[in-house]
Amino acid sequence: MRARKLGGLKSSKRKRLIFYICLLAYPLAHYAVFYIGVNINSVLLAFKKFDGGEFSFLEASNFFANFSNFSGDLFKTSLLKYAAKNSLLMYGVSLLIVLPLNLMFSFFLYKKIPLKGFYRIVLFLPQIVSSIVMAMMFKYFVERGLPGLFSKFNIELPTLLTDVKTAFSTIIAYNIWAGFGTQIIIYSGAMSRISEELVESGKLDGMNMFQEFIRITLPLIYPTVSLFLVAGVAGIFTSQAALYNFFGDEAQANVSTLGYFLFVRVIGKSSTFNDYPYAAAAGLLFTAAALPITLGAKYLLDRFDPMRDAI
Amino acid sequence: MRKKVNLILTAVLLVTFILSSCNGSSSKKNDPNTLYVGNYFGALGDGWLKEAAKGWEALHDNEYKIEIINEKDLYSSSTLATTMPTNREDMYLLTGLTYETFIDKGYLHDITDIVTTELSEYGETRTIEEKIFPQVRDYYNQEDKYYALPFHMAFTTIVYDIDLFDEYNFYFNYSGAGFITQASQKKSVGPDGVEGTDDDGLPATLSQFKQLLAEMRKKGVKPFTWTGQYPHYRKRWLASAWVDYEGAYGYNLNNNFSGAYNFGDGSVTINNSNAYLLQKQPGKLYALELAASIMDDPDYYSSFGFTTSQSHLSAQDEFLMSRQRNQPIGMIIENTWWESEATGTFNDMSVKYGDKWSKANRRFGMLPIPKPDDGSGAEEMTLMCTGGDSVVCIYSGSPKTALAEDFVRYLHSDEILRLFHRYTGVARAFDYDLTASDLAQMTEYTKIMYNYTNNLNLPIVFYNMFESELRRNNYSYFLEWSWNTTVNSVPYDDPFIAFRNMASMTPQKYFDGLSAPYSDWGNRFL
Repeated sequence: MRARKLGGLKSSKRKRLIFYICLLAYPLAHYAVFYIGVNINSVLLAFKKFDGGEFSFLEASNFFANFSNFSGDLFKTSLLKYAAKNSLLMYGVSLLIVLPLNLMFSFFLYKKIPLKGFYRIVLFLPQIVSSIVMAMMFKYFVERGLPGLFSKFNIELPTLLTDVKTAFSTIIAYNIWAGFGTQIIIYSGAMSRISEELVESGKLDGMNMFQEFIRITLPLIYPTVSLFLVAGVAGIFTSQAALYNFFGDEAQANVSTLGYFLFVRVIGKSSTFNDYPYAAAAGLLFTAAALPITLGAKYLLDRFDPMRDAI
Repeated sequence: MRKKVNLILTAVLLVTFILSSCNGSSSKKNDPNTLYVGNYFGALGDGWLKEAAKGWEALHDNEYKIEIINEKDLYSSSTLATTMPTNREDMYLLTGLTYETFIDKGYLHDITDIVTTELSEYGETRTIEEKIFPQVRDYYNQEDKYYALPFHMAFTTIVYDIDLFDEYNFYFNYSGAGFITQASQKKSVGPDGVEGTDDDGLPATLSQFKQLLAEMRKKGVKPFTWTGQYPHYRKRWLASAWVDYEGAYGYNLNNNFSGAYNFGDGSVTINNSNAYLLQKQPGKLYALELAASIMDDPDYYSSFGFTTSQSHLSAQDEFLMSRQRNQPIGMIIENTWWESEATGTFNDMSVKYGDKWSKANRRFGMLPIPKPDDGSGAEEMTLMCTGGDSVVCIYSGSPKTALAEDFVRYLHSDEILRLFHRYTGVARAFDYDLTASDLAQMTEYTKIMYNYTNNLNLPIVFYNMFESELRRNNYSYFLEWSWNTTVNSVPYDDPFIAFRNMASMTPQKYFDGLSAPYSDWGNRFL
């Protein structure tokens, strides 16, 4: 009787173990192959060259050639200098314009302004619709719609997406518009978890809406905001700012971003295997640059967490 | 019951998952009697290939079949480098392939035997090798072996509307000082200097070109349109102006980085250590002057030419329909196969406006690059072909290489070379003659292009046929070799946009900045 019980227990344990293994085997294998394997490969790739139809390690005397080629380009060629400048500008815009706008709209939705359901759909739409469709809509709007409208008032608009003076600003405008959505859903979700009693007591103390936002809402959703800010730092080096959606691999040099530059090197029609080691080295250098910035940003954001002392 | 439904649903999802992951040509049945031909499905379409396949099957009493697999993005070099061994295709007709890389990888079947044997089965006395244009023969011949053959030969040129030019008398008179006023008047000899040829009355010099643009504007005709979505059209045309100025030898130094060149202050031997000097070739400055002359006045070009929503097809529509829209446009920058792409528009127009507007009845021509007024640069006309890396090749791992070889020979018989040309309007880099019957089936434009590419024995250079290993192995670095510049620390790669948007930009400033992007040459390559 006792032996059967034990055996029964063992059998159920075994079954559970098999179940867990089955459950985890695929994602773990997937992670091992497509994350760990791929990353190890790309690290090694940074020290290789493509020659004679295959990748081989660079000679010892030239082992860091891919790194020096990229850093040389970054500091010497105006194309990459511009790309770096544009990438920083794009991050600045997302930090100083997109983030406050997202917070503001989230707060309005949280405060249940009239037609909040409608606004929620409109603001989330760019995330639901395919990015290619969004880019195409925007393209036709700024290249056909707007000039047509302005021509009624005898105002001639420049070709916004290709004019040297307006192209990158137009791309920024698109990214602001298309940047709504995910953040709004998450911020308004975080806001909805704020205790009603806390807000009520603030109101009894005579707090207006602005004060409520600054003194109650923002501090309480700060961890969520800081998460986006930290994640955004890594985006400086990877975001291609939807340039590929607009221009394919033919974007003008002066609108390029670092992310686009690398994207085209690997995915572009003209890319070849010869470009992969260079791109891998650039990726590693970006990681080396992003790591301290990200950790520093996280440290500072944690340090200035308004609820830090309260916790 | 619920358990059963769950089970069925799980099974359906599983099967769907398995089936969807098996969706690829590699998993489809491979019939030993069927030759699978991968065809880059772009502007050339597959009409000619279907016709050729039918003929080949008939020759073999339908014992063997040909299945054409049309793809576009899946036939890029970078994709094929990983998919070729698992694809079902036995052979390919591709618009571009990194030839040496594929040879190195061992993917290309050695076709030397079939290339160097007389095509006697088709009643011909020459081999395929003997028919290949000498300009490309060396590129395909790697250490006395052939692994591929050139596919198509396309040119990016100015296409002008002959009917419109006739109507408005946009031709220079015999003295070249002004325009004809009546069609019966004698035209100037044109850029080739020979009377009675296709280019009679067309601008021969830059100043005549400028005069033509001004005349067109004066008469309410917009000179140009082009695609805004693909800036490489206009940039390649500009490169062909550079080629025309330098001539074949001078331009080819940019592909082989080897040879002597005189910059005006003595001869320099160009090699890997100093090839950046080629950025100072005067042909580039001349081409920039041409671009600046077009951008001189916003009335000289359609503003849609600078919108990303103007695809090449929209530009063709704009050009072809311009007279119906009361804004006639005289010229478009296009590739040789543009008429084939615009067939739909031609058909719509002939239904709506009458047969006069059909493809067969409308007349278009090629406007040659005007020469500099001071007579500098190469005297004869040089054409620049943009399809230099297009190939016909057989996958080395195919179990049907013998069958594929047979089909490749058939494709290179004079009859099928003519069929291709007749169908697509595009030439192949082989020596063959179209018959009167072929020409009768072709449009005016394709006949004129045939005359330039196959009859006049003009020098032809191939834009992306890089003989220099340095250039081949650093493809992206040299990607914008033609027009990458830096002016006042701002990078530009499109002269047309730079001249349009920057009032202070001049051809000289643009030219002076061309060397800047290559200032790290020493660190990188020495």
